[in-house]
Amino acid sequence: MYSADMETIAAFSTPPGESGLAVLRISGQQAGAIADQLFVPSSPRFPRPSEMEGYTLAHGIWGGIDEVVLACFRAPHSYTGEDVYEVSCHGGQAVRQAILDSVFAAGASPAGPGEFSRRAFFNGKMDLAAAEAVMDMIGAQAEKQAQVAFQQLMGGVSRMIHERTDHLYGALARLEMLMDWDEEEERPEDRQQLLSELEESENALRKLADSFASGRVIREGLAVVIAGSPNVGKSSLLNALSGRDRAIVSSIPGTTRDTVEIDLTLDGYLIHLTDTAGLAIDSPDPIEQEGIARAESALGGADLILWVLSPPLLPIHERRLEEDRISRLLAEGKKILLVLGKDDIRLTLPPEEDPALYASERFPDLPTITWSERFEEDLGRLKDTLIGFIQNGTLISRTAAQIAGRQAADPAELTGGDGVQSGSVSEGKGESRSIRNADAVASLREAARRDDEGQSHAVLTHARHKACIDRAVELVNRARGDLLSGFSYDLVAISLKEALTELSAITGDDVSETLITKIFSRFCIGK
Amino acid sequence: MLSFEEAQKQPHAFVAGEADIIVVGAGHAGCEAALAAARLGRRVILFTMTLDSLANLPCNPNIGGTAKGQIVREIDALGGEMGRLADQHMIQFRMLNATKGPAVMSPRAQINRTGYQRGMKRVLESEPLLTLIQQEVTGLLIADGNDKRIVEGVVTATGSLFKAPGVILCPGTFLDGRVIIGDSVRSSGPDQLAPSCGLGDVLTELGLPTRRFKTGTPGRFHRRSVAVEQMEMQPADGEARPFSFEHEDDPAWKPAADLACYITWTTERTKKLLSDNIDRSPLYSGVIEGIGPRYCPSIEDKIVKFPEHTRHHVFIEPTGLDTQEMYASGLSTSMPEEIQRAMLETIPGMEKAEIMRPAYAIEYLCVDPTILELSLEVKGIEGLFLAGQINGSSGYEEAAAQGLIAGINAVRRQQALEPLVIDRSEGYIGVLIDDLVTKGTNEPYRLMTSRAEYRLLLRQDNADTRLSPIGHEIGLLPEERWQAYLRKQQAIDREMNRLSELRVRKSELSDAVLTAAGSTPLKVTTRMHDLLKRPELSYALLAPLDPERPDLPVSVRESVEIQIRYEGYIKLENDRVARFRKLESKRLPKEIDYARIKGLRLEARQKLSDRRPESVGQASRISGVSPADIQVLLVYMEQWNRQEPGPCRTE
Repeated sequence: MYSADMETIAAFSTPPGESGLAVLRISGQQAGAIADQLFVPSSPRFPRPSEMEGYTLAHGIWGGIDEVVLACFRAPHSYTGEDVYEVSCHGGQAVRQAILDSVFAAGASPAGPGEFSRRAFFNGKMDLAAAEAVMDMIGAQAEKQAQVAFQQLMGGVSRMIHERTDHLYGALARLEMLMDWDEEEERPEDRQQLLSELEESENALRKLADSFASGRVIREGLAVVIAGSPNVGKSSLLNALSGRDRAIVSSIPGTTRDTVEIDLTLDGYLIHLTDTAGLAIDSPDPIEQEGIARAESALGGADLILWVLSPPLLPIHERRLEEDRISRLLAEGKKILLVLGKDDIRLTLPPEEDPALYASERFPDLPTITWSERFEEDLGRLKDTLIGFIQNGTLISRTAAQIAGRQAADPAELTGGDGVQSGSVSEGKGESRSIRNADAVASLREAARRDDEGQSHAVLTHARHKACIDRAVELVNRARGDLLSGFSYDLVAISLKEALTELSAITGDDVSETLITKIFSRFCIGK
Repeated sequence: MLSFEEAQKQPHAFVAGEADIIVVGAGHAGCEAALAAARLGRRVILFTMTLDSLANLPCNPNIGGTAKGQIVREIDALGGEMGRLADQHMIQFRMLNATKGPAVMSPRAQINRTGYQRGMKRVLESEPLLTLIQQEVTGLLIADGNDKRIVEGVVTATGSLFKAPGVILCPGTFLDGRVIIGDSVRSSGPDQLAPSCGLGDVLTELGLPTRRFKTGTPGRFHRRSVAVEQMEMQPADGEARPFSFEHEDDPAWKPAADLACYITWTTERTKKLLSDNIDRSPLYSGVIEGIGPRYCPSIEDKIVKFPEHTRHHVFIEPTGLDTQEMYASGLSTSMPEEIQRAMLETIPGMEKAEIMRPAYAIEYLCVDPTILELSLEVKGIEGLFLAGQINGSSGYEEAAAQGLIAGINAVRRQQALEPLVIDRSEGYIGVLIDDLVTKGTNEPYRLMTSRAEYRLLLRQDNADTRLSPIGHEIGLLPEERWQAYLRKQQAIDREMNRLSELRVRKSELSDAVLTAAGSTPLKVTTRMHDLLKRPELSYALLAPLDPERPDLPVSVRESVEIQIRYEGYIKLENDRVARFRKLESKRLPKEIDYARIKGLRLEARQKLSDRRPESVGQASRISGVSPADIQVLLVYMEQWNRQEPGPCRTE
C-alpha cells in the first residue's frame, strides 16, 4: 500500500456539462469526518456518515447547498481501496462548484490527475496489467489540466495572481532579508512595517479570492447586457441564448419598448440578460432618448457587455460614435465581449465591409467571438465563454485581431475556446498497444483517451485554484496574528512560505528561487 | 588521458608515491576531506601549491554567520575540524539574530587568520595516516572500464606519478584564476599565490561542463590609518559561545580575544565618484566575463543597482592578533587603484586609510555540479570526487562541508559502503549539496537559511542531535565525544520530563512573578511546561517558581527551552518531514529507461535521463519535472517492484 497518500481527495466522477445528477467522490481516511461536517441527514434513522456501514445510503442536505444522497463504501471494498463516500447531487454547474468548494474547505484536497485510479492501483485493486493504463491516464489528465490552466492563465488570471501575490513575496522577502542579512537585532519599526505589509498582502489575496469565487455572481447572477446598433442581430442573440435553453426562469418584458430583460440559467449559473435597442443612434426623439438613457443605465450595471457588430457596417460618422462609446465603457473598466454577428455571410463580403477586419483595426485586443444563429456550435462557444467568465472573472477568447487574421482557419481551431468544457486529447494515445487484459484496463484506457475519468477539468481547476487561495489567505492571517502576539520572525516566516507554496500550485513558481530573486532585487545586500 | 599503467610505461616515468586517497588543494574543502579520510583509516596524500598558505581566509576574516554558523556546527557534530579550530582562534564572537527566533540564531566569529592557518597545519601534520606534499597537480590518471571510467591517480607539474584509487579535487579559486584590478588582469590565485593552470584542461578533456564564476574582496588597511574612534563600535557579545560541541559547557574554553568591529558609511561623494568613473570598472567595461554572486555585489554594483540609496554601510573588522591589517566589509571592488584611493577619501574615518592590499575581483573555473552524484562523486568516473568552489559554491563553510562529505564518501566507496547523504531535513549540509547537485547554480552559491524547507529543525543548538549519531555510526566522531553527546541528551530528556510534570500553583509569588514579566496571573494550577510556551515568559524568568531546578549547562537549558516553546511548530515541521521522507526513500534504480515510461512528458523524460536522480524525491526537485510526472514515476516503480524477482520489464 502506498502510505504517502495521507490526504483525502475529492472530485466529481460524472462527466461535465448540464445533467440531472452529478456524483462527487471523496476518498481517504478523512472522508467520513468530512462527510460528518457537511451532511445533515433528513431523518434521525440515518447514522452519522462516519458510522455508516459499507454500501449504505442516506438522504439529507449537504452543506446547506443541495439535497443529496450519500453513499458509503468502506475500505477496502471501494474503487480506490480506501474509505469512499459518494455524494449524488443535482447536476447544475453552480451546485457542483459549491459542493466541491465545501469539501475542500472541510479539509479534502483536489484529486490530482488520475489519482483515484493511481490509489486503486497502489492498494491492489488493479493488477499489474493496469499500470500502464494508469500512467497513460495520469499523463493525459495532467496534459488536459495544463491546457485548461494555460487557457485561464492566458486569460489574464495569471497577471492578476502575480500582481496580488507580489505583495506577499515582498513581505516575506523583507522578513527573510531581516533574518539572513541584517546584522542588527530586531527593531520595533520592522515589526510594524511587516504588519502593514502583511495586512496589504492579506487584503490583496482576499480580493483575489473574491474575484475567483465569483461568489456574488453565483448567488445573485451575472448581469449581461446586449448592445449594438439596430438590426445587428441582438434580438436573435437574446432568443438563441434564452429560447434554446430549457431552463428559463422568467421572462419579463421591459418597462419601455427599448429594453427586454430575461433571467436564464446556463449550466446552473443564473444570468440576467438585458437587450438594449437603438443604442448607437443619436436621435432627437424624446422617447428614443429615454431609451438611450435606460440603455446607459443598464450598461452601467453590467458585469459583461456583449457588443454586437454585424454587416453592413454603419456609415463612417456613426461608426465613430459607436467606437467612442465602446472606448468610454472600456475606460470605465467594463468587460466587453465583441460579438461579430451574421458570421454566415461574413466570408462573402469584400474586405472593406468585413466587421472582423474593421474590429481588428479599431479594437485589436478586444476579446471577440463570431456568431451566427445558423451555426449551432457558435451558441455552444458563446455559452462556454459566459460560463468561463463566471468561473474565472475573465474572458477566455480570441481577440478581434486573431479572428481577422485567421479567416481560413480550420474549424478545430475556430472552436479552440471550447477546450475548457469538452476538448479531447489527441487520438492515438495508447492505441498502438494491444489490450489483452481485464475490462478494467480497457475502461481505464478509454477514460485516458477520453481523458476525463469523469472529471470536469474546468470545475476542478477552478476549485483547486480557489482552495489554494483560500488556504493562502488563512495562512497569511495566521502569520499576522503571530506577528501581533510577539512570536519570533522564524515562526511567522513558516506560515508565509506555506502561503506562497499554496499559491505556487497556480503560478508554477519555484518559491525559494523567486523569493531569493526578490530579496536581491529589493534589498541592497552584501559585504 | 592516460591510465596509470600507460603512464608508467612512458620514458622516465617516476612513481613518486601511493595512497588510498589523494586530495588536491588544501583550502577548507581539501583540509576537511583529507582529515576525514585519514581519520577513517585511509592513507591520504594532501597536495597544496604552498605549505605556507593552507586553510587560508583570503576574503572575510570570519567564520559562521547566518546558515554558515549552523553548517560549522554540523561539521563539528559529524566529527569535522573547522569548528574546533575556529574556537581556538576566535577573536570576536556574536550570536546573530538572537531576538529573531531559534531557527535563525547563528553564531559568527572573527578569526585570527594566521593562527587558524598554522593551527590547521599542525592538525594535518599530526594526523598519522596523512601526508602533506607541496606540489602542483596538473593531470589525472584515468582508466577506461567497461561502462565507466576509473580514477587511478594524479600527475604533478614535475611529471611525478602518484597512484590512488580515490581522488578528491578541491582547487578553489586557484583553478585558472585571474585577478582583476581595473585594467590590470593577471593570471593568479588569491593573495598573489600562483594559480592552478593544468587541471582546467583536464576537466575539459574529461568532458565535464565548465564555466567561469567571479567573486571579489575589499582592501586591507593599516589600523593606525583608520579613524575607528569616529565610527560606531560593534563589540563582541558579552558571552562567547563555541562552535564545537567539544568546547560547549567547558569552563576552560574562552575565545583568544574579544575585539570590536566598527561601522562607517559611504557618502553621497562616494556615490558620485563611483558613478562618474563607472566606465573604469571592469564589471561594466566587459573585462570581467565571469558571473558574480548577487548576494555579494561590489560597491560600484550597489551604487548602480540601488541608485536610491544615498549611503551603504562599511564594517571595519580586525583580521588577526599578529597583524595591523583591517578588513573593510562592504567595499569590495574591482576599480583601478586610483579610484580605490579616491573612494577612501569620501568615507568618514577612512580618509587617510593606508591600503596594504588593494581590493580585487577574481575569476575562476568551475564545474556544473549537476554532473555529480549526491555523494559528490562525478557520475561515470569511479573514485573521482569534487568539493568546494569547483562545484560552484562560495564560502569557507560551504567548502568545508563539501570536503567533509567528499572525504567520507571517498572512503565509503573503497569500503563498498552506501555513500553518506545528509538529506534536506537533516542538515544545511544536505540543503547545500542537494541544491548544487539537483538544481545546479548560475552564480557562486551561498547558503541562506531561507533555502531550507525545515528551518525550524535545522537549528544551531541541535546540530549534534541531528548529526552526531551519524558521525558516530560512520566512525568519525571520537568515542569521548559520543559519550559526552549521550550525557547531554540524557540531561535534556530528564529536564523535559521534569518540566512537564512540575505543576505551578496560583500563589502570591506566582502572581507577582508573572505580572512582573508582563504576563497574566494563573487562574488554575498549570504545568511549567505550558507556562514556558507563553511568548512573554522564559526559562530564566520562571526560575523563582521552580526552586528545585537543577543547575544545568547553558546548552541543555537552551535545547530544553526551544523544544518546549516551539513544540507545536516543531511537530508540524516533523509531519512535513515525514511526508518528504516518503519520496526520498523511494530509490530509482540506475537502469531505468525513462524514454520508455508511458505518461511522462517529453521534457521530464529528457531531464530524468540526463540527471538520473537517485530517488523519487530528488527527481521531484529537478526543474521541468512536474507533480504529474512524479505520480507516473510512482506507478512505474510500483509496477517495477511487483514484477518479482528480476527488475526486467516485458513489453
